Amino acid sequence: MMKLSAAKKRAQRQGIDTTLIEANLSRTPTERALALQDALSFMERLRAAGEKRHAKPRKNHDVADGR
Amino acid sequence: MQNLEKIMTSLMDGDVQFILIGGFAAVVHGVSITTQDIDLCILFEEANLTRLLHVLKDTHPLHRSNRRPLTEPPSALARFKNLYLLTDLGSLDLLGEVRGIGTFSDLSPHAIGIELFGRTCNVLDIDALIRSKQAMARPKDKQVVAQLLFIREQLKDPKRYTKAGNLRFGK
Repeated sequence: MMKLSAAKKRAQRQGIDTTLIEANLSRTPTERALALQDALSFMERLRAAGEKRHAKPRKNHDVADGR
Repeated sequence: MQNLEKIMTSLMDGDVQFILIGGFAAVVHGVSITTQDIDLCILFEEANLTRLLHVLKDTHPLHRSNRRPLTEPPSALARFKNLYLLTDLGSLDLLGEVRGIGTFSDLSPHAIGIELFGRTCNVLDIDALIRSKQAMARPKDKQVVAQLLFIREQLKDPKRYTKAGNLRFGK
């Protein structure tokens, strides 16, 4: 058990969220791959939203109105 | 739209000889990262490349370097060391050799069959994946190595086996 703790400590020292890895280990490989695919699809939607926003001409009152 | 599942299942159903490596292999083993291209070590032989081209024929494959269509016949592609492609279903990095391990033949003893999308996929095992990432030594690879080392330790503990742990990860 001490070996496991050392590996966890080493990973956490490098800024790794070991709880995410532990969550992944509770899923099958297919579930992990599908989660990645979902994440990539989500990223594409975020990117498209960002591109649309950056392309939109900004009006002076946008920031003040919280838009 | 990128479709990782469709690329992978098409390659497996098309009997293309490959070993899943790189970031996607790390994800399959449990690493928490986001990666956009699929890295495969493939056998750069005419017959295997013929099967590959058949799988990709309706995906408009382009060479990523110059965005030109992939038009070379299998006999010409067999002289390539690597192929970096963009397809309708996503990016594919097809490598004939993996730094730190070697060619497809060198990798084969270190590939394990993992059930993926209802089929058995050959995936580089954790130990070899660590070696390949250490050989690359980019900052992002160091992060992946640290996660793989943690996963390797976790999988040694029988009390923590999960449904994924029922698969033969590592030796």
